[in-house]
Amino acid sequence: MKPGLAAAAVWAQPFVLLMLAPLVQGCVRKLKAVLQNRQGAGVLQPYWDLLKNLRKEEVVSETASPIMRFVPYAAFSATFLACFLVPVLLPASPLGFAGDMIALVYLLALPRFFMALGGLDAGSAFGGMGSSREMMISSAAEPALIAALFTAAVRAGSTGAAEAASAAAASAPAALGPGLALGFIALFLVALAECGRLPVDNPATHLELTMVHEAMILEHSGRSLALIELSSMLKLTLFLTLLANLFIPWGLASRTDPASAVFSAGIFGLKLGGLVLTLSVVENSTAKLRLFRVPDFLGIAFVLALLGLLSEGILRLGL
Amino acid sequence: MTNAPGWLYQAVSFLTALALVSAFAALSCRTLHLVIRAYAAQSVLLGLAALAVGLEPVRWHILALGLLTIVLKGGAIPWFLFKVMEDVKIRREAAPFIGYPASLLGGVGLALVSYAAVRSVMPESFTGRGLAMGLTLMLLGLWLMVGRKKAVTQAVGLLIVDNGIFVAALSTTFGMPMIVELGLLFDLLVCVTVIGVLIFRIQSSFASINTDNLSRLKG
Amino acid sequence: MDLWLLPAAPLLTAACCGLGRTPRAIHRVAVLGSVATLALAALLASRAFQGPPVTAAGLYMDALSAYLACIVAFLSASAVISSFAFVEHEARQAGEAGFGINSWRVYYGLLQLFTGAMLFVTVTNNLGFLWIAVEATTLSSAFLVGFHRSRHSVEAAWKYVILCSVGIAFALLGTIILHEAGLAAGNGHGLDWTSYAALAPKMDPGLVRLAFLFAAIGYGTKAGLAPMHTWLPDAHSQAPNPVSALLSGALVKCSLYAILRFHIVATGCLGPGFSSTFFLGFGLLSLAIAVPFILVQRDFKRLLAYSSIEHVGIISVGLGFGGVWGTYGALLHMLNHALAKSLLFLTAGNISLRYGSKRLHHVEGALTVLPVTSLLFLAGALALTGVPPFSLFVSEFMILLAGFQSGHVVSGLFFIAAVAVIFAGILHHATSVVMGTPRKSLAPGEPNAASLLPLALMLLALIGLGVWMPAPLDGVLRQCVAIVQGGRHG
Repeated sequence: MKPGLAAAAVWAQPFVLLMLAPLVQGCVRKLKAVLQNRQGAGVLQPYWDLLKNLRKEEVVSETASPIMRFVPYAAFSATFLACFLVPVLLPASPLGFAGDMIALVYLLALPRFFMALGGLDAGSAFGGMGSSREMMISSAAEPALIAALFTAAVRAGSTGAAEAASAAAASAPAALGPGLALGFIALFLVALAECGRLPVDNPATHLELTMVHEAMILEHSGRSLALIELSSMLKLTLFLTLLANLFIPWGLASRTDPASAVFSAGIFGLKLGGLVLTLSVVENSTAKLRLFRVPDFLGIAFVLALLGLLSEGILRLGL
Repeated sequence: MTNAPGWLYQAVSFLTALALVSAFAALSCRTLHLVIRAYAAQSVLLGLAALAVGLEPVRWHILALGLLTIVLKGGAIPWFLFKVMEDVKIRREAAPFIGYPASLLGGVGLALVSYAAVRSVMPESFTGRGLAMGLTLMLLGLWLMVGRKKAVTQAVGLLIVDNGIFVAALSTTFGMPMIVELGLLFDLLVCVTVIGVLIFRIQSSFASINTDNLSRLKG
Repeated sequence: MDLWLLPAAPLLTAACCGLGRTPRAIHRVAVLGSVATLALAALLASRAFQGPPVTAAGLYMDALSAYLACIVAFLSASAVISSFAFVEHEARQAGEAGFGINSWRVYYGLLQLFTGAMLFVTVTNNLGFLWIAVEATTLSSAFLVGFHRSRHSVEAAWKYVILCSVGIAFALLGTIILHEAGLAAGNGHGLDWTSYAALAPKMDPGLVRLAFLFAAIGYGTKAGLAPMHTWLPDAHSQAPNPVSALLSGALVKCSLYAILRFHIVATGCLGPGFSSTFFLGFGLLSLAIAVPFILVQRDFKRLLAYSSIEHVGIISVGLGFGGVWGTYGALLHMLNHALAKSLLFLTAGNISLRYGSKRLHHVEGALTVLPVTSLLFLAGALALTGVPPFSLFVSEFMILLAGFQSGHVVSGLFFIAAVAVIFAGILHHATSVVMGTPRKSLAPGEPNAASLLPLALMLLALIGLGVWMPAPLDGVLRQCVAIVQGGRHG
């Protein structure tokens, strides 16, 4: 196998994620609709929505500063850059040498910062409200996110995402321990909060009293809106990929070559499908939390992650 | 347990870790019936862990103990507590002494403390880990009792302390002799009954089961 | 097998009490049962004192357990005999509706169960059953503490059950750790104390240390050692008087006895230093904590309860000083305190019933209202504070002597200071109760003479033991000291 081809396969991974992102979103929406006995739009609908928005004229508030135009690009590029740090099918990531999971956390914080700025910049009351809520949630989510990722990092002895994922896959059935399960649940809860999913924020509503994420991006339109939408889809897919590869220790290819990538693609698809199904079921079976209960929710995620960390690394808990 | 197959070992460690999580669940729940459920779940998990421990090599007294634990601590005692709760018509823990996030974080701290304490006197082993786990559950039970006002929650805290002792006994010595274990279970049942009756009396004398009313005797 | 009769007799009596039809019948049955239990205890004890330890399946009675069993049985009998007046008073206050025949049955039945559990504590050989029995004493006496059904007594009962159950949980953990140490040292799967005592030198010192600490803190909660004493004043002050007498005279000793059993194993394994330090530290702390509460006390029974904490401290300090005289003094003090405290609780109960108040400043001039009871009360108070003609002086003196002999000068001086201050405090309270003129006009007159008889006997015993130590008792105590110091077992 030529090294060039292997490198190309590794570099293709983030683009696979980018292409998959709208599909994942579409599947979640479709599944939710089916579970609610609705017909729902087709799974490809997000692609058409993005294309439609890309072609539309962009309207920007007169009071807005240049930041407003800059926000979508910053948000999208930071999220996309984060994808370069994550292994998808192969036990390597394109920029794994340059940044680990800590960098990942900060790359995910960057779009949030810019979007909050954008929400304030437009000068609408809703935008400001959305920004302040988003910052409150993220300040609670971040420690939990870091603790959950560290749970996976402890076994590998490295904070690199690719190393952690391949260490989990290498010790497959023996790795199944309480630490892994606790880390999985914690990261899942954090993903719900970070991606604006149901118990924390309802992605389908525009009811002004409850919306968080939607309130922030209310003033964006046209191409800006398309980019922001795409980056939030990408973020959801990224979280699901992390869950699938760090905490479900099967299917990741053991060597870096395109042939095994094809094989692991099948298993990755299954894992992703399973996670999407879980997400839709969870979203369908919970009611939205009051905003002031969100820190409690994330506190539970944090405690679970800490317990996972304890049992995985420092203490090897249990009988 | 030393030469048991790996999956059994894994199952036991999984079950006890989930029991630990259920103790945290009890710490984080606001409604009393969820707290009682968390206790019931914990007892069932520990009963299953006992069954797994007794499987290889087969130890009949541990298997019987596991079954009894599931039936009594997972079924009968929670049922009785539910009945008490229904009769005194109290559902929520409105204003705890220690807030929910604080009690969760404090609980993690206690887990660390007990592991560190046991580690300092015992080498890392099956016994040491089990003892640490038992001590953690005991401390979490105490922490629940300290942080809450409702008499029912305090009773659940006491029961979690008892579960901690169960874990310690199971992992260090594979349980006490059968006759002693039966005596302990009987004691526990009587204790729960006594506490239930006392909760009725508190309710009828104070028209509330907040234990912060119980602070008149001083000096 | 006849050893099993000892804990079984009170249970049988309890069952008979449940069948009684009238209050008086129930009382008579209970008195009969208690006296029979006392006789049985004395009979078995005399066998244990004279020969090798009496054993039966799972039970074991050496001189130490026999000594404790006799104290328990005697106090229980005197508590039962004097119960009638108190329960009747309770019934009169509650009225016909609130206090049926069932309340009588419950009271006497639980009192017997309580006694049975304490006797079982003294004679069981199995450390697991020891724990079960100590917990059973809590559970059987919980409703006795809450018998009065006022808000206060409900509170006291709740604290009693919760704190003691939690505390004692640690004793179970200690038992488990000792079991682990025993398994490692080649003991079988049994929990027999005798085999632990024999194996002690082979056990892992780290585990035994941990086991003793947990067990001592657990049973120490039940014994009322400071700082785990907080339930004790509430429970002792809210319980009906005979129950208070039993709680502080017998139950506290039973818990100390449980610690002593662990102490013997720990001494066998670690030498006397480790557990003695524990006893000394907690004993001095208990003494120190009792002082301010006794000085400023306003409630009769809480005064006596804090004095119980003081005396637990004294016994514990005696065990901590160790040596022959320290241990001898501590064991003798157990008996002395049991007698003096029962006497005080029962006489104080009579006085406060007549005055209708437990507040110290409501009660004055008891000497004109209840002359005999007041004299007994005053004498008891003097005895309790360790004034010379009484036997508590002898035991406290021995403990002090042991302390100075073993070089604990600072602890000894502290002991003297605390006891002296408490002497002043209790004497002040007692004289203000007995002397002066009553505020309200109360008709003079004693309660029935029958209930005064055991009180007078207690006082006689206190004086008698103070001036003359009977040779048989001396022999018994020497045997007990040998057991505690690990000289003889198995």
